[in-house]
Amino acid sequence: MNNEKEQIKFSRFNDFLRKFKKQKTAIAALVVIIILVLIAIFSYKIAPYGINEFDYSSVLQGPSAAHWFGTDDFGRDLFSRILCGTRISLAVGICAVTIGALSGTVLGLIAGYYNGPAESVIMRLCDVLFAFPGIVLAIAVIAVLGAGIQNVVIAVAVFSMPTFCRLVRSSVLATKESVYVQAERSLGAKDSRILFRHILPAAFPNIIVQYTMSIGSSIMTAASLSFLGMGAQAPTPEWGLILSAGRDYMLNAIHLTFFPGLAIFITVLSFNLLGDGLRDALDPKLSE
Amino acid sequence: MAENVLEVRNLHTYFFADNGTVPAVDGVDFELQKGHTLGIVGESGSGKSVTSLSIIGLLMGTTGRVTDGEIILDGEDITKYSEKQRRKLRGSKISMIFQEPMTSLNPVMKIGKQIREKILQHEKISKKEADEEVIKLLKMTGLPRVERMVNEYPFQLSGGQRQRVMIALALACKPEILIADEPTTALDVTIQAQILDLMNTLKEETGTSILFITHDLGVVAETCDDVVVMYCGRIVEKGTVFDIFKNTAHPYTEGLFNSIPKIGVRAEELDVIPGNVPNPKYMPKGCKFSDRCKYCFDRCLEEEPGFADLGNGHFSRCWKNFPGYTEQEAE
Repeated sequence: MNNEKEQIKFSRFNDFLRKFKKQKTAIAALVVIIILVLIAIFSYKIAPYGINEFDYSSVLQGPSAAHWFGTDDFGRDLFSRILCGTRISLAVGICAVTIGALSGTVLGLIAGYYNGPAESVIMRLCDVLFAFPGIVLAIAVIAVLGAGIQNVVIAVAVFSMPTFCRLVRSSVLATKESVYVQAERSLGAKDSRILFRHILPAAFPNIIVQYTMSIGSSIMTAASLSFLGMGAQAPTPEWGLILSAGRDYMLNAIHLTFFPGLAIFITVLSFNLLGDGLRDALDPKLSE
Repeated sequence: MAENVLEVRNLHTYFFADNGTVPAVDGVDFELQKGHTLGIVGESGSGKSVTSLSIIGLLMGTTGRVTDGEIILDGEDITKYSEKQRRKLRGSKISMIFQEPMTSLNPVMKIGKQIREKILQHEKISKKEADEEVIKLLKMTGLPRVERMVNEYPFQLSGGQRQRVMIALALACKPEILIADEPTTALDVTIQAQILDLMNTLKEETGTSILFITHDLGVVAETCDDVVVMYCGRIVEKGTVFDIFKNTAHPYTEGLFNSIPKIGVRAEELDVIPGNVPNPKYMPKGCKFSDRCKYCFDRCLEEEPGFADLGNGHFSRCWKNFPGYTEQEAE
């Protein structure tokens, strides 16, 4: 009886938590991401100045007690603008990757499970998308759709989709041939049931890791597009755009490029580190 | 004569590859009687597994196809069924146990849930009733501490326990026919005996007919009522288990018996059948077994024999078994 109580019930979630707790850097990254999310939600409340509050008496000032990150060429407070930019960057990154992950997963499931023409069409399409460097592809999409935040989301979604598609397909191919799927089929399971009950869950850990990592790179791509003038338009406080605007003053006001760059750097790094930690915690093959 | 639940008539399953067509099953006839166990025996590559996959309809995804013949279940030829109709049969009328208990359960789904889902899929009952059914099924297979086990994952069970779970899963919807594809090959001998006992008991309790695929004649003796011996996609001998063991007619069956090591006889070398199963693309012209047969004579190389009727449903595909065969001819 005593022995029975000591045996803790095995749960996959607890097992994951236990492994994740050991990933110190990933936890630090997670904390940073949570802070970023909180900033994104409350940015307009906590920002000391308005994002378009011009102050021509203090233009291009370096960091000071009044303006922590200094001011830009219109005398706007950089700290407030970067705080408010968090919302845009996170929203664009998360929305774009979510769209890309959903569509990529569905296409990957179809391509992996039903071989034949559907698979060829989907995978060739992915190959075509892979052939372009991500940023070039995104620029092409923007060129067709026009500049703007929404189109950046679409562009980034398009370029993150094929990665998910390939990932899910390879996972499906591996699981599809496993004996338990055969066994399930021998007991009369429908295709949809096999796909969503048995094959998709097996692919899930990979999808989660790829999802987290993609958010980082998507934020980067979105910022790059804005930097190139194809994403957010002035006076939106988008990080890439702030960076781009600060470029002209790089020699005498380095803070205008340093702080938005730092914001992008920290955000992308956090998502990548979290992704790394998740992979280590989710992969049963990696020993502890 | 008991009624037949399954009749296989002239079944041909061919695999179509880029470099030729392979006849994996080439004109197989047999019938499975209600409540009986039929053993299909043969070495690797003899077509026994393909026969079972043809019956359950799991050839899709391979290049194989049933090209001719009938599989009659409850008086209906199921080879003419659509994929959807076939799927409805699986689980409810025919189910299957696989060779590898280690991998035939989903590793990330709890035992109880896997069986419950199967029941809910075929029967309209509540989740709670299904859970009770799960416990009943697992208890039926003689598993211990069933109430706890339903919340465990397959990796927490041993091979024998998993095979019992598989049996419970296969029997969940009370199928008429259970196909067991070498269910005990991956288990050690004591567990093997337990699983065979369990299958025999369950067969008697539920009246399920079993199609038992194996290469182990010891297992056949213990479980089967009737036996079909396959070689190169064809049946070479069939009959009751008694006839096959006592009045062995076909040289191939004889070879199979001789290659079992005998306890108490310390032979220098095991008496094996020389050679290998011929490549399906380069089949001998006459009898398929002629190149490995020690009784082979001229006629065997020229002409393939039909079935010699030895009475009491015992057939053998060998010229030696036809009346009129004389020793001289062998010379």
